[in-house]
Amino acid sequence: MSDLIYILLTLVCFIGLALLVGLIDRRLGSASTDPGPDRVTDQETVATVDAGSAR
Amino acid sequence: MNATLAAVLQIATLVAALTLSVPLLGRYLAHVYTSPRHLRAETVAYRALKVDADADQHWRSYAMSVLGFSLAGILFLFAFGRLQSLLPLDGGLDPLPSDGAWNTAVSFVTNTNWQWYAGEAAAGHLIQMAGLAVQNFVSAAVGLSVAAAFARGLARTRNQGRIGNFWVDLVRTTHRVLLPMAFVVAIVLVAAGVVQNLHPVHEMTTLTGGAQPLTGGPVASQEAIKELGTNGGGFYNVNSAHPFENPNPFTNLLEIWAILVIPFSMAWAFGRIVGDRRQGGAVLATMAALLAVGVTLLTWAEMAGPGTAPQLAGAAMEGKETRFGEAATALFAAATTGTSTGAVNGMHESLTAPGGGVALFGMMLGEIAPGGVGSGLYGMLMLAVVTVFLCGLMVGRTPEYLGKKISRDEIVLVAVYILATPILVLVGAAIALTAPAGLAGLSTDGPHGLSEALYAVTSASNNNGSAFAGIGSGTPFWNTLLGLLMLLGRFVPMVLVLALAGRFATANRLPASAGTLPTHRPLFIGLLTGVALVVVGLTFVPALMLGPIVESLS
Repeated sequence: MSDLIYILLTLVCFIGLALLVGLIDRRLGSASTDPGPDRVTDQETVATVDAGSAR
Repeated sequence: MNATLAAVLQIATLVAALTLSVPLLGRYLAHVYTSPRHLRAETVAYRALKVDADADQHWRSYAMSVLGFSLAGILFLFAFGRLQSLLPLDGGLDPLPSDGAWNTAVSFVTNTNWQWYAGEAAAGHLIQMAGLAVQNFVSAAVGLSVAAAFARGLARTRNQGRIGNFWVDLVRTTHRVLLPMAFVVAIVLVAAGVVQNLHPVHEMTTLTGGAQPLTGGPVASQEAIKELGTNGGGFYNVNSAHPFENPNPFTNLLEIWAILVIPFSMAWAFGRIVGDRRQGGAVLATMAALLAVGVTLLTWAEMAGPGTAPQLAGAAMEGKETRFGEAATALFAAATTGTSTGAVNGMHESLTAPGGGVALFGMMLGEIAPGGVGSGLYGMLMLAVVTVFLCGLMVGRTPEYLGKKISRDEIVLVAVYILATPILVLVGAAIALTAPAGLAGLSTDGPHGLSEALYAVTSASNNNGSAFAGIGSGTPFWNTLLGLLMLLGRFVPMVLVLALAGRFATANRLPASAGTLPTHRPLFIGLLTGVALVVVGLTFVPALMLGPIVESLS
């Protein structure tokens, strides 16, 4: 019985976290709405931050 | 050798070792997280997992992958603990109770490694190797992956919220970083005398004729990853105070180096990932400055701190690693609470009141000096965003960090991040100190009892894992409360970090202007250090006043 309680507690926590992800995604608006996976040849873009705060 | 000289030499050796290793490892880490090439073994893993390794994930998909992977880990480890007695190599140990199995599962998946039990008396060899040690690797890899994703978010421009691929980051971190490093460190530990076997418990007869069980096991392999991954805990209940786990001064220093090397190297890697090494240098310098203050204060508190017994003995010797000197315990304590490690080589319960306060403060800082693997870097970067925001307010300009504008949405995410852990700590402490079941776990009342409870909830919420040893936390109340704090303290901040990474990856990079705050200069390092101290000070000083500060003055 207590095993079930802890499993349910875990599931409730993770459902809450998933809802938090959804909530933030919705609040952040369409600019960052998931456009679906994008296949890339270079997994990461190494940026040049010359124009940033590197001055 | 004079104790002060030994302390200075120990710190100097550690600094030299880190100075040599951090640039090399940092450069390698940057390569791991930016290389487009997959190794053959990794390709096999992706195929088995049915992962498209070249698919770049939106931050939401990345976050859901983190959560899904961690949920599976908790359920698997929970079942492992409950079924221990039915599995081989159980050492004749009983299954863990429900609350204890859950607490342990959450603890190891969240990289906390809080242990409510004595390791050698509750966990058999199989669960140590196939359960706990595996989570030591992958939970550390999750933290590093999230930090790498955040760095990518800052490096990218107009990328529609895509921040990388969690499964690629996870596999690469485990395969290219943690496994090889842990293998080498484990071999060195074995060569230096740390135990590594699968022997059952031996009954030894002591000189006085008594019987004493002697537990061996796969200690070195567990020890290597638990330090490198800033996991913590220990094969033995007394962790690195046990001669089988930490037999001599060399292994002691090696273990401290292993705790610190990856978090510092991630700051170095950050600079390379965002294309400006000076940015990584500034983050690293801030981490180092905060750690130096912590080490200095803790060493002073334990070697010359207040109290009748310490003054008479020349130092606070109770509960210390007496084989290596009290300075070794102070350095270990500062390293373990400045990161999210939680392993100890002396009992933190026995630290002097100001020493215990410094250890507590190190965790309350959010473990950013240099912090846990991955979590230290993203924690420091969140504070960097707060710093540029506050400076922007002071000079009346729109704040930006690395050319990314900090607008309302970004600062809301950061503000919730900054508030989340303190809320968990303070609410958790309030519950623990008002519930009879919580009070029943404390070994004493008064300020020290409050410090015990405050330390436990701070350790859990910040995913540290160390404890004031006097607290009896192996009860359903404490296991459940601390389990919840560990879980929320790990994943709520992670979700917010990934969301912010997505925002940054979507945004344009602003050109520099005369009003842009340089974020690589000493002024910014000072501001960032000040913000970290003030934010934590304002939040936690009232609680610290009631615990370690009152105890210091009494």
